[in-house]
Amino acid sequence: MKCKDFEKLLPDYIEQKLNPEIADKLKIHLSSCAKCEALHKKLLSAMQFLKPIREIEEQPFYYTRLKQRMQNERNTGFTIYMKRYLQPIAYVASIVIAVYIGILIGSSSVNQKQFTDVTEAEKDYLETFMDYQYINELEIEKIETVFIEESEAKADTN
Amino acid sequence: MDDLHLIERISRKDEEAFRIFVEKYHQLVLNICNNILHNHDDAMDVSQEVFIKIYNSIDSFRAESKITTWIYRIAVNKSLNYLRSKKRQKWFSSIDILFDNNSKKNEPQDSELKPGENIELDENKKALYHALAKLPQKQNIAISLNSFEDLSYKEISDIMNISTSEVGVLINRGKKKLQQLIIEYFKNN
Repeated sequence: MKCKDFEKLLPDYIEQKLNPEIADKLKIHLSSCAKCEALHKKLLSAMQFLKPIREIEEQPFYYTRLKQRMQNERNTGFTIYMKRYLQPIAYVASIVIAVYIGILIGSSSVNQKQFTDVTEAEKDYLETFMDYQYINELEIEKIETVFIEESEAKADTN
Repeated sequence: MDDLHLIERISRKDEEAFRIFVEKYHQLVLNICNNILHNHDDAMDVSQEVFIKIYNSIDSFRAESKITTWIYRIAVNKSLNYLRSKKRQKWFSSIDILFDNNSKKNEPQDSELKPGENIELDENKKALYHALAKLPQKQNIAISLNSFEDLSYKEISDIMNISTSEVGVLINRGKKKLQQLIIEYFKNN
């Protein structure tokens, strides 16, 4: 028998719930393994503490202390009420308000899609505008060159 | 003065009757709490809560069951509530440790037992209490009431509001699990 099997069967061995054959194997292991023997002894002595106990004796000033506490609790009744009921309510309310504000901010923010969704009419307008700009640029260039030419001609005649 | 007469007077908020009642039962309540919490100071604190509860809800006591069964029930519930709140505190303190490394220095090594008690307690006793604390709550209560308080299955079933056969199952399974937990404790320490 291995130590691992012994540890598994030890509670049933102590409670005498094992069949005799397995119990004998356990006994043999117990006599040959010092580590398991020590564990067996420790377990038995730990279980011995599972017995009726009355550790605490009568307390002479118990009632006085109890009355003092009852008096204190009466005095601090509102604080306890605050802690127990109003504090959680305040926390929940602040979370709800925070979420509500978040939703409000979210709904009033700029819709990103409105810039990406371009209708057909808008497309036409944009294309025309781009063409116009191009043409206009050319025209401006032409006018400039005309002015330059004119000013040069005037200069020549003078 | 018998218990029923005392209870009747306490329900009329008779302070003297309450004093007699407390004097009579405080040792019992203290020991019930101590046998579940395994800490004298905590037992003292929780036992006071038990008497405050008794004082405030004395009208809900019906003479159908024994007064001690009612006291046991309140003491067990209060002790369990205390253990639960302690677990919650532990959980929150573990979160604090995550955010604050300095708090680690102030955290006791074994929060269930105070340093002074660590020295006093026998290693085997410590192993037993450690294992009991790790048991499922119902098994822990059934074993504690049966072993430490020496109560019968019938009395435990009345306190826990379950059948006697359920009490038997809880104790048998609990003891087996308890031994496994003690073995684990000794292997790890």
